[in-house]
Amino acid sequence: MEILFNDLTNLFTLTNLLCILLGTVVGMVFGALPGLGTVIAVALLLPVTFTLPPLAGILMLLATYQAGEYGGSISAILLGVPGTPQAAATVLDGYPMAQNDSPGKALSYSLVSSSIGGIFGGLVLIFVSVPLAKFALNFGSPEYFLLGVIGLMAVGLLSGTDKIKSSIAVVLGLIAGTVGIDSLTGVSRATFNQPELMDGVNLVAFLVGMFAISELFMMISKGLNNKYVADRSTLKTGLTWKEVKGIAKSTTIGSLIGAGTGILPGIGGGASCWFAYAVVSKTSKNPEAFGKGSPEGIAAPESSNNASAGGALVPFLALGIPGSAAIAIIMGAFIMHGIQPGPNVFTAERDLVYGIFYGFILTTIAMYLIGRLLTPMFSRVLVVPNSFLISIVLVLCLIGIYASKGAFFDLWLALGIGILFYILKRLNYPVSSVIIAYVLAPIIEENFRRSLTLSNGNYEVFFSSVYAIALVLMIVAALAASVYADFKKRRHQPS
Amino acid sequence: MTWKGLNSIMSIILIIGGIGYAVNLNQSASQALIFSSSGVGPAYFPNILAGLLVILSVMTLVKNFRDNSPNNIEKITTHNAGYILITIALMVAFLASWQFLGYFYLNVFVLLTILMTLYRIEFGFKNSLLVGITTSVFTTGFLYGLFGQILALTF
Amino acid sequence: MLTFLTKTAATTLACATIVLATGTSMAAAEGYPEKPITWIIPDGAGGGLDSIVRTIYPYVEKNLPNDATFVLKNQPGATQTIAVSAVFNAEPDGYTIGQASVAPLTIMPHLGRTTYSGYEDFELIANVFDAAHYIVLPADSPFANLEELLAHAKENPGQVRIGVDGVYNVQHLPLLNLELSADVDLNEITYKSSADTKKAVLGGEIEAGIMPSHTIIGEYEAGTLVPIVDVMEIKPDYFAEIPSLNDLGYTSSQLFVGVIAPKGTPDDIQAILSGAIDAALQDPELVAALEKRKIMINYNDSETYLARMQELDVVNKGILTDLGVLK
Repeated sequence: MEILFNDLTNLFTLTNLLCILLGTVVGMVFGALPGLGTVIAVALLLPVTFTLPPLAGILMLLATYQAGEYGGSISAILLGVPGTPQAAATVLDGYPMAQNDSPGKALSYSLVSSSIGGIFGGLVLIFVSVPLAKFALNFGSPEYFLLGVIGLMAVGLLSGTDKIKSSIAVVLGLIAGTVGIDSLTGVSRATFNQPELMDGVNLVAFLVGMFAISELFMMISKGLNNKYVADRSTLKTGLTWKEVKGIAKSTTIGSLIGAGTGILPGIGGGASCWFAYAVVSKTSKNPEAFGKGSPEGIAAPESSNNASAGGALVPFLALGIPGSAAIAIIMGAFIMHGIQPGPNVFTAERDLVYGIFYGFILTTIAMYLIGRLLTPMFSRVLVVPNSFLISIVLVLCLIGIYASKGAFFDLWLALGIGILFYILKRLNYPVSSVIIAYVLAPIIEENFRRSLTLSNGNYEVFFSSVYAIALVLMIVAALAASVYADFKKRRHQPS
Repeated sequence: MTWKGLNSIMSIILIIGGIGYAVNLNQSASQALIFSSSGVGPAYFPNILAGLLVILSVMTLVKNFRDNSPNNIEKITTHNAGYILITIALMVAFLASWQFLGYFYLNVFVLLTILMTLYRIEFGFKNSLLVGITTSVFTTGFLYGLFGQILALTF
Repeated sequence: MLTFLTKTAATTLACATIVLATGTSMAAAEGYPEKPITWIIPDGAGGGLDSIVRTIYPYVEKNLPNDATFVLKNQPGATQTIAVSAVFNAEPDGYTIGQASVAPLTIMPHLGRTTYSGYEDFELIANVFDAAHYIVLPADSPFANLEELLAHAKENPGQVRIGVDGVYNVQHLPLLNLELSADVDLNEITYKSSADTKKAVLGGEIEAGIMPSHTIIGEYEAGTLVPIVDVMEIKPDYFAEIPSLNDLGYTSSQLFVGVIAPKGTPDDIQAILSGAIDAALQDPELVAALEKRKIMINYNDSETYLARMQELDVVNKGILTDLGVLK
């Protein structure tokens, strides 16, 4: 337990605290602006860190990353436009609560559960990162395939009323996820000879087109000079103790699931919030409230995506394996200072690593405090008339898409996707699950095919480890449960 | 147009999209030179997906065809449909002008001014133009300061 | 009268232009650069190559005349070919240059995936740095060196699994070449990135993997990963004692990253740029910054850069022809 008595004077310097504050503000604002998001915020701050001492620079980027995860939920809740893919699940309950009940409350639920998730992720990082990183290595290609399938099933559980249309939405997401050069054979798939499609459909263009641009058309329909909120009292933030207790269970589940999936590079945040949402909605005492503004439905994905941020640092620090685009950029800051994340970093860079561990907890606290400060301002966005909101959000979206890759093709693509998904939304296709299907498609397909290449075509590879068998059993159990539920429902219907 | 009509058109678009995707896919996949020992090649999953999309869309089409409930044969009303179309047209003009002529910040200024003037036209042309220009100047200035100067991005 | 006047003016102008135009090849460099030079980076903001260029460019600016400035433009994607195409399509006036690795110049054109036909379509200004990639074994591997691995693979065709980070790329082609020349059949497993390969080797999913040298220093020191052979020609000093494929009697590949410009960029401007890059790469401050990040600075002037590119192109073309992939 010597880590507890580590010298923390290195951590509490003015530079470090200022850097954390700056990173938090930038992350939160960029995360909240549709189209910009965490990755762009971290990428833009990276050059700033070159001139800073290593710990300060790294803490600034971690603060940006952490706050960006929460920031993405702000626009998800207020506008129904997730700032990051990880916030897509938050739209399901956050947006209805902001619309029908109180935007201030919805943001507060999100902030409280995000902060708890963040602290949990930080504690996991401090106490069990080395053993956890070793554990994560047990998950190879077959296990990733099975996890992807479970992720898809979690999305299926959340399907809307029209089963066929829900399935179409998922298939569309999967199809979008297969576009591009097939990484296993080099064959180009449905790229229509566009070099911009070789690496697949740009995630930012897809996300912005699907959620933001189509939602802007919806807003135009709702009335150009309307305001979202007429009654300013609903903007008040803050939760009562009883309200916090109400989300205790879902926050705990979300944090555990988030930290657990966060340690698996590549699958992390995007899928964890859906796992958490599915589990909490199936085990809740009020399952019927989900999708209509349930506090638990906000707390579960929110706590999980911040817990997964801490979890994602585990394989990164211990093994040098970055699990997401944002972490890969943060790795750049390490390398810039001549520090190689990996097995030696815990001994060679002791002070730095423990500074990062405790600093990560500090970034969560900063996120909570600045969130408390900025949330009322963010929710005031809804007092702005739609005419201003639509015009400015539109321009920000376009800048965000261009900033992500510098390709005009992506802008046109986003416009096309925006129009298509506007019509799909009007026709009641449940589109929020499209994005997770898109994220999971390559995980499922590549790992399935890679597993078979590893085993020279032998399907036993999917039962070759305890973990794989456990995952297969989970899939079978979930399938059996849903068939049974269906069967029970049918027996009750005719009577 | 009725909901039924739009539903049918969308299903047909999805069917055509699914077929187009499959055709393009199998064309390039036929040139594959690495064959995996498992027999699961690059076109295996995508073909299943394309098939699923077509089958599911046909099912929706049939279901929609047989649905003559009052909701479904009702005419679609889109409040402010004209504004949506104009917004799309302006976005196309903006993107084309930015891509082929450049001058990003000027384009942003013009787009914002037109959009805001148009959206607020019920307050009178003069009023909305004035508000539009003012807001656009500040927004464009802010964007230039943030992206052009502080973050040194080139558009 | 008016027409006449305009006509004369036009003729004079045209003459002047011709005079100026013939003069360009000699005097284009005078006053160069008059405006910012665009430097196209084939990597996203915050990526590895992006941050290298961002470290280098101020030092190149410092060594250019006339208070030169660079505008950096990120155009990632499609194995760098989007950025290289942008250079290909730019005016050859010295105001657009690009960073490029060898894949978009000596591999992608042969796969029929580019609008340009190869490195011949560009002016090669200067090489900046080299990289080394190693075949890496886990600590508990039954093999001690490459010979043992290949011997085992020869007896068990298709059973030795080795991870690479893509198909027909700078890792895959040397591996295929090794298989051809050693007459063995390895089971190549493709991962999304070298980090994924590393995870697979550490997790025991595969018997070996190819990884960039700088990503495995920690594991090498901790003894969890063992690099056995460099598949590239140049070795970093921290792995100096580990042989390269050349040392073992096979053919090494090369991985180097330099600066290119559109074909037809005036010679003297090329010379100015090349000289500035050379001077920048000798700046002790920049050398220290790059060394800290384990970048192997390797300045080559235009001629050497071209010669290396030609040599590699022949090799890669040969491999792709043997595989029947050449387009």
